[in-house]
Amino acid sequence: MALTLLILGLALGTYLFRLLPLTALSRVTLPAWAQDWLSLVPGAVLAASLAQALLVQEEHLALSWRNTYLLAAIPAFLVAWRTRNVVLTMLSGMAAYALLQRIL
Amino acid sequence: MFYTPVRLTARNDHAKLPPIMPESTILEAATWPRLWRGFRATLPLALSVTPFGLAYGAIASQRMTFWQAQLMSLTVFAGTAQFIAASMIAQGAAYLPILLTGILINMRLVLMSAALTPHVKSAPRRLHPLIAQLLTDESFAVSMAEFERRPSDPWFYIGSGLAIYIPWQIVTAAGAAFGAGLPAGWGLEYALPGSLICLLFMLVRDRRAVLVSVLAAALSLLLRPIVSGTWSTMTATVVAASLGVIWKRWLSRS
Repeated sequence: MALTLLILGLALGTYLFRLLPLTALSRVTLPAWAQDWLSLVPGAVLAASLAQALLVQEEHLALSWRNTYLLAAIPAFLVAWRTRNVVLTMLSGMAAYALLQRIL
Repeated sequence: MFYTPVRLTARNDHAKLPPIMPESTILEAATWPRLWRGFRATLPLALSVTPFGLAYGAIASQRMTFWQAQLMSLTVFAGTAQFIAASMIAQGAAYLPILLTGILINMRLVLMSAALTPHVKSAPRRLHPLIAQLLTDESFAVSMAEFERRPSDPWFYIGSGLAIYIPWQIVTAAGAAFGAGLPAGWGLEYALPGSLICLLFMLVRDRRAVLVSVLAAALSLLLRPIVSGTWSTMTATVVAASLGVIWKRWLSRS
């Protein structure tokens, strides 16, 4: 239930950004630094999110060769670099992870 | 939908189109052909968002019900924000930082909507809510390119928006079905980091963006013991992006 409310809240906020210039604020301009700042946000969130996903396990920093999440990132990085294809990257990471789970 | 530069495959199609009609004729012309033209011009880009929709669905299926994942596609309808929200939910984050981060990512829609407004204002007022909901990077890019060459046409834009909206619903549902159907031990836990890695490659294009991302990643890890849960991700993002802006201004001054 709370999750559904979160989704609807995000939807409402997003919708207002889309609608307001059309109905009320037809002349929105943001200063250059604000636009620059907004352009850096998605990459930064992704990187922070990825760091948490790869390096934090059970609330602790896991920097070791036993960390299968970290090891499976190596083939995934290579595939992402070569192909820029999100499905291929995802599948190669999943395959490497499943394999490593069985070996280690 | 995604904060990546859009390749305009439709750009050279203009040579094949009939000569430009005067504004009055365009507005009187039947609605469906105009809608269809926008739809057709944008459909190739729907193909480019397909992998992201599949990945989103697979990640969303881990912690959300099918209908919650689909509700997000129907209402939020913004790839990057949906992706981040689903990944933060999958990591078990508190809800307020998820909401704030999603809103922060979607804030740029204000700028796109403001740029588009003069071109679609002529539409009947009852269509404005629909016009707003259909705004994505893809429909924006295709429509703005079109309106540079030919008269502004809200129906072209609506067709363009639908060409992303409808496929997005289908591919995110397919991704969710795939994720839910995959048995344990097939590495579904890695769907999230796997797709984040690829998205990062696509989003981070210049040296400054790389530095900001590395900084955000390091800060989010360092802040974790001090700031709980996802707040660390959000705080790290705000600090790193701000330092990125300051760095650029400082470089341009010296």
